[in-house]
Amino acid sequence: MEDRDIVNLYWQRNQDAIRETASKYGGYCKSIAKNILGSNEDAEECVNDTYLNAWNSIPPHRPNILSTYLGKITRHLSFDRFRHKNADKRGGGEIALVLDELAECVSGSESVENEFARKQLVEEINAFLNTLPQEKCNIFLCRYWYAIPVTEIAKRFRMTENNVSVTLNRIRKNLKIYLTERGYDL
Amino acid sequence: MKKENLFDIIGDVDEQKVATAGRAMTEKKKSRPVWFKWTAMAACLCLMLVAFPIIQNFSNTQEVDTIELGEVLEYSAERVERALIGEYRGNILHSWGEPDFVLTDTSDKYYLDEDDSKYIILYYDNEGYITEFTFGED
Repeated sequence: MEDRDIVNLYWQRNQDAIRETASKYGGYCKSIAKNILGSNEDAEECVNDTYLNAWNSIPPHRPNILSTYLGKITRHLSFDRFRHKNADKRGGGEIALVLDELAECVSGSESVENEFARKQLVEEINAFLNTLPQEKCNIFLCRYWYAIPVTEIAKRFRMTENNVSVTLNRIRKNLKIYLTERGYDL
Repeated sequence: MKKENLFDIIGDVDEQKVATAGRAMTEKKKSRPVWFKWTAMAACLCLMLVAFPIIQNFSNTQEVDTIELGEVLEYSAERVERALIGEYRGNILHSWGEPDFVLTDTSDKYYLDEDDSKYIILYYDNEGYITEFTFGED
């Protein structure tokens, strides 16, 4: 079923929307949750919560890209769950490594953020991503949006793991420089 | 900022970019059907069959294209024939200049060594292309 038709089912409050979503995007959402949480059970729960969340948010939302909309919910729910479960210990899925890598871009200090500042920062990151060649942008997002293991990224993009790690390292450094030059003290 | 905040914020980047990255990661590259491989191999074979004689001829042409009169002795009769007769005829003739003897309207004699002992006689058709040659010794 086309995404537009699935969204229409949500708008019609037709429960087939959930079934169609699960059928088309269940695997996609689960892979995101699994990358972040590492556990099948937790991932399943997050995916089910994603359907519920989608049911509650469409309407009023009408997603432009249904996959990303659902993926974003899954990512958010999974990361929340990760934070609650791992408040005192390391562990989980790939996310611990992903966060360690991202730590190179930030100071680690507490910062008070308002919604406006956050949106501005997102726009700056978007602008930075626009400067990257398509493949590097894809690699960056596969790692830091989807939390996909380096091994899988390397396999998919036909690169060595070391090459992927070096590429990511350079992108992170450039991101930090890019944001610092624009006045962001992360 | 904490690393968790940055991870959160990255979650809000342009959804089109996210979708593109997701597709790049998950879409299977279309595998070519079996017939494609065999067709490609057959096409390669045909190309080789067609290209080989052409390349060989080209290489032969290149090989004899610079043949000089003084070099004829160094060439086998077969190679001289390839150079002077058939599809290569006319390639060499004019670079040899005037013959030592004009025998008839359609044949010339060129001496090949300084002693004027070994010679080659070239026979032409009406259009001036070499049709035959003979080696000889005085």
